Amino acid sequence: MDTKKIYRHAPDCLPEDMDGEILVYSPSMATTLHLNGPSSIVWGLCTGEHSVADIIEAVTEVYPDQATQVREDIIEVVEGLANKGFLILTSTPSD
Amino acid sequence: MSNWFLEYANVGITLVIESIEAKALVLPALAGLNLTPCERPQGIAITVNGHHQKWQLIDPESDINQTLTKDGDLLYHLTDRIVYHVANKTEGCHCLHAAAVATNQGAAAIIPAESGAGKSSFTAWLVAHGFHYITDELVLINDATKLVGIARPIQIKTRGLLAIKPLLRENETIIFGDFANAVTVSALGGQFATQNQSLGAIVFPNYSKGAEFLFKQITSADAGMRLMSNHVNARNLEGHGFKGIMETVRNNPCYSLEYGGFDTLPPDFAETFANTVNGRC
Repeated sequence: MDTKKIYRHAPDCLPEDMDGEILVYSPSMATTLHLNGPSSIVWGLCTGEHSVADIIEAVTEVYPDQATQVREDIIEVVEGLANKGFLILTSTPSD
Repeated sequence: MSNWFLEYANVGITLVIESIEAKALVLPALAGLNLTPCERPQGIAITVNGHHQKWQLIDPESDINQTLTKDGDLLYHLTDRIVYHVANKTEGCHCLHAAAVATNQGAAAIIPAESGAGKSSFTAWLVAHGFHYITDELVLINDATKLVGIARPIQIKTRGLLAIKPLLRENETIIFGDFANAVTVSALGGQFATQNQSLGAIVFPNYSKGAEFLFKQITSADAGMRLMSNHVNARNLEGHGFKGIMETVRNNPCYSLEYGGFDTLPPDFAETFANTVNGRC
């Protein structure tokens, strides 16, 4: 994955905080996702302002001993949410 | 021929009953649906004709014309048509694929589950243990958490009959079918709930042979996921009714029930269940 990519929430997605866990519903996909752990962090940071690399960096700061796993997990979560239609690509900024 | 009208959430359906035998079978079995006689068909018309061992069920709106040989199958397929049309057309409230019962204090439990998870059998058990019957298949609930249900005869698959038979009152029988068997509320010694009950709890049952009993509260996120998967008229509602369903889950305790048969339920489970449901009212 090109980690310079920037994603944001698909516009029709409906998030709900359920006692600290996030459920997100996509009417266009008629699908509900349960986000917790890494996926809820990624969801919270995919606001259209941060690249995937930014998100990886931010989470790695919290878990420096797990840098490799963090990168893999975040890329997997972003790709998964994008493939399911919950995240859309905003831009791939140039250097 | 006689016409019998029923309505749920502004969805009107007329049962056009064309034979005396059909009337004798259908009207008592569907006593919980508040059928009222009408001169002419209104809304969606479903026709029932024929006699024992050769019934005919016609639903032109769904292009269905069935010949059925068992009384139980006629009742199953007829009520299935009613459930389908109500769920398909209801816009003003949520339709849930769920059973429901009420306590004698007027609090209701919604019992959502996929087909085969045992919700109808569990509902029959609850009715036999004093809970008032709302539905074994379709709950209609508004955002104020007032609910009604399609109070058809409880439909039990053949594999579940052995467990149900001990619950029947003496000399009461089941209306048999090949696809499903109809168990009336009266056969269980039960009674129908009054309409517009208030929600007290949501319980997700799962019967699995050999499973140990476990009744526990679950997180609202877990309950929200499960309830959305049983939300059958989502596409008729703004935002697919998601926010309303989540609000319902937040405001009511949600539980899962795992059990391996009625003999795995504790002796005082009916009381525990009632206390759980009443706790919110």
